Amino acid sequence: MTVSNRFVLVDGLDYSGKTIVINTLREWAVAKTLKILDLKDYCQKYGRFPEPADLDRFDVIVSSEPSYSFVGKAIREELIKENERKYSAQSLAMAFALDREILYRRVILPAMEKEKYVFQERGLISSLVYQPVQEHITIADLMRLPGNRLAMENSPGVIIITRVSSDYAMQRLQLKLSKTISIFDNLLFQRKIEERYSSLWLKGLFEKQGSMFFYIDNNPPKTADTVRNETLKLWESVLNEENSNNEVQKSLI
Amino acid sequence: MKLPFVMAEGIDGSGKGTAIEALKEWAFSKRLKVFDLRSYWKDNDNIPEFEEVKDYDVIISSQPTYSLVGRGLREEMIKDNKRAYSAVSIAHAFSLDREILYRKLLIPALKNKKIIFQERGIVSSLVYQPVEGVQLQETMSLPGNKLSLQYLQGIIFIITVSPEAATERLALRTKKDDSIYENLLFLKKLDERYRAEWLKQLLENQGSEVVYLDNNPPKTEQELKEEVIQAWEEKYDSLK
Repeated sequence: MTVSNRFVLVDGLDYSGKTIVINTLREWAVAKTLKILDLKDYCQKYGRFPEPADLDRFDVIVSSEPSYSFVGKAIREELIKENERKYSAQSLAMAFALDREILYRRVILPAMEKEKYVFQERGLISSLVYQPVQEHITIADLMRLPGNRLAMENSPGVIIITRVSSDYAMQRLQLKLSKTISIFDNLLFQRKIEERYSSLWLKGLFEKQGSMFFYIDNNPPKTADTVRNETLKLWESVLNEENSNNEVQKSLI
Repeated sequence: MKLPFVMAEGIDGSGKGTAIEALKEWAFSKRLKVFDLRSYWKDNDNIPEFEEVKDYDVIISSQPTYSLVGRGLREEMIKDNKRAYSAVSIAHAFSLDREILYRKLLIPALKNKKIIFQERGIVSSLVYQPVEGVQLQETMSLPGNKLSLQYLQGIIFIITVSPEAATERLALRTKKDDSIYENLLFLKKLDERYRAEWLKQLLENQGSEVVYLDNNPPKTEQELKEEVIQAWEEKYDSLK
């Protein structure tokens, strides 16, 4: 499977600016008058994923993990939600991989085949970064799960890691404490996660699959506007490269 | 201690649904309050908290569930759609669906001495998944399966029917499951496993009572129902 630059994955700490990046890409698509399918909206409206044929009339799929249907809904509403029930690292890892597998087989891979753009928030990288820190589970264990393997084999062309210092992320977290808090939230944990997102092994792992790996820093005094401009510049350079590659291919023919 | 947990097992078309129906009718005849998850799932894509059903005496359940992971299984993974999920992924999904159902609802219900009548469960995974390519030991070690094996001290009805008769019954059904599991050769392998001595031993070692009910023609629905109720009533009296 060749890597597609039309598949962009945005990952990073909570409150690091992932949504700003995704929204910037979405605004780019709107400006180009491309038709956008927002998977979250779709899943919440219909209670299921679209079938591959439903993708035909769209140009762009905006996606996120965990998803909002089936296993993804179970993750959000039960497995990582604060309740008196404790699910093991193994169960959580299986759940994330299953959600990923369904999302990829039913939506992402068909979308790639149909040459759609896919902008996704969080994915396999989140599993590799978070799960080994939570409890005893290794990267090797994670990579044995079918959904994770599938996502690795179909790595996005473009990976953007949004970064913010964990201290700053925690401050922003405190401001929003009234919202549902996931079990992941505490400072020490966030520091470890921050380190893993910036690690060379992670970058190397995905570059080996053919992905381009970028970082966008979002520490103060940087504003949402600066992040937006950086994203757009990055995305346009990716598109230019894709165009010039196409030109080269055409001239070869 | 024995649990008021009854499961009906068997190949598709064997009569599990009839057995559960009989138990439901029994509950009504005793003026017990029945909460049927299958109806609940028609309008709700989740599993209720025990708090929500604590006033009922009987819970009627089914696996896979019809919500969350169970819907992922039914509407995507085991549906005949050419997307070919591996046996490992399917085994994981069954286990996860089971784990959520047990943790959120069934375990609290059993602790509060509620009666549970369930169509399919862990036994189906033990029977089906090794035929699909996931070894028995591996199947048993998945978290949701391991958990449910700890709560087997009830009664398991294994309803047996020849695969040919089952296929005929399935052909008559108006509601088709459209699942990957309905072909004769496959049913034959499953039938053999449902009748196997090792399965009985395994279930009995976990404290379960295994009752085989033959449902080959010319047995009528009514006759099967009577047998189910008779077996359950003996058990129920000993629980009280």
